[in-house]
Amino acid sequence: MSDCPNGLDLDEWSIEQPPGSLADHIAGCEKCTAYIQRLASERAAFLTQEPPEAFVHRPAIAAELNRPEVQKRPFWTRFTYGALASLATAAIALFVMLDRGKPTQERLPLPGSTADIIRMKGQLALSVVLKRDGKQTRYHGAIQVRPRDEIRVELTTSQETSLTVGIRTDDGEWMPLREGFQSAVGTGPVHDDAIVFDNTPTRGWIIAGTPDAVASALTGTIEDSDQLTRVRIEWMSE
Amino acid sequence: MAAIAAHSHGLSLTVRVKTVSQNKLTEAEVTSIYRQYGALMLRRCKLILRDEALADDALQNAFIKLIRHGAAFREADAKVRWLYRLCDRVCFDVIKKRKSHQAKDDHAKHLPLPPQADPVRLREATTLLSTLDDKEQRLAVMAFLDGMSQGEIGVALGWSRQTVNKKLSALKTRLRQSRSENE
Repeated sequence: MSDCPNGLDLDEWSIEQPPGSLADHIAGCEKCTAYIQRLASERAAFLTQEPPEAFVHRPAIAAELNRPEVQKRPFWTRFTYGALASLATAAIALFVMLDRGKPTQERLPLPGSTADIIRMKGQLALSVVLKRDGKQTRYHGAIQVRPRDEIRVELTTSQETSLTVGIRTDDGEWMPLREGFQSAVGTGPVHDDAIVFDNTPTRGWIIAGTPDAVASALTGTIEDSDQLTRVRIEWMSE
Repeated sequence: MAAIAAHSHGLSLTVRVKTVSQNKLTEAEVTSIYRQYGALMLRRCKLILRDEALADDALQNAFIKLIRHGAAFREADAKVRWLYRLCDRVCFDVIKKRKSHQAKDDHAKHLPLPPQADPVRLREATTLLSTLDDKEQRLAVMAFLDGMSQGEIGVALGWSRQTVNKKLSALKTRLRQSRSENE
C-alpha cells in the first residue's frame, strides 16, 4: 500500500489546490500528479461538452429552479409555537407547569413499534414529552398525536457534537427545530417552545443527527445510521 | 422567511423561521457548482453505475435534489464529500430500482481513478451493488473507488476498525465467489 492520500482528499484538493502537506505530496508523487492532471482534462472536456449555461436550461433543472418557492400550505401552519420568554411571567408559569407534572416513563404501543426508534449507539437518543389534557408523558419510541397535543423534544447525548434536529413529514416538509448547534453532554430540551398540533393529520419523523447526516436523510429515505436517530410521529384521530 | 402566529397559554407572538423554500439554490449557485464539481460528480456516477446514460440521469437527479436542499450544501464544510454522498445515494437508488442492473462499463474504464483505488474490485463490486445493503454499498465505494483506509472508513461509517476489516473481508469473499461463478 502506497502512502498516497485517498481519492476524496485528492478530489477535494483538485478544486482549490491549497498549499500544504497534500500539495507537497502531490508535487512529489508521479501517480497523484497524473491523477490530478487527468481530472483537470476530464473537467475541461466536461464543460466543453455541456457548459453550465446549457445545463441549467435542461427542462428538469430549469423547472426545479423556477418552481414556485411555496407550492403548498406551509408545514408551519399546522403547528403553533408556544410562547417565548419575552414575557417573563409566561416563562415562569410555563416552568412551574412543567416542573409540577413530572413526566412518567411510558411507551406507546404501536404496530411494529420496535422498528420505530433507532438510537445512535450510546451517543444520542431522542425522547418526546407529550402533553395531553394536562398530563405529561415521556416517550422514547413512536408517538401518536392528535389535535391540541403539545410535544417537546429532548435529546440525550454522551458527547459534545454538532447536531441538527427537526421534523420531516411524510409529504416531504422539513421543520427544523434547531440547526447546527453544539450539543452538551446529558439530557436537555431541543427547543424552547412546545409544538402544538392542530386538526391537520400529521405523520412523519423527528430526526436528530449530525448536519450532514440530516441533510442526507432529507435528500433520500430516513434510515438509521450511527450519525442519525429518529422517532416516528403517527396521527391518531379523535 | 415565513411569519408564524404562535399562541400559547393565552399569549401570542410572531416567530420568524426558515421555510423549505429558503433551502433552494439559485441559478447562479447551480452554475457555479456545476462548473466546479460537475465533472467530479458525473465521473463518480459513471464509475458506480457503469452506464453513461444512467450516469447522466443520476447527475441531473443529484442536482435537482441539490437545488431543493441547497441550504445544507451551503453549510457543508467538505463540499466534495457532501456532493459525493448525494451522488452515491442517487446512484444506489437507481440500482435498487433496477434490480437486474447490468453495468455496461464502456466508458468507465477510461475514467481517472485515484492511485489508492482498486479498479478490478471496483468493477466487480458495481455488479453486486444491487445485492448489498446501504452500508455495504458505501463500504464498497469507499474501499475500492475512494481508496480509503480501514481507519478512515471506520470513522465515516461509525464502525470499529475490526468491524470494517470483517465486513471488507466478507465483501471480498463475495466478490471472489461471484468471479468464480462467472468463470
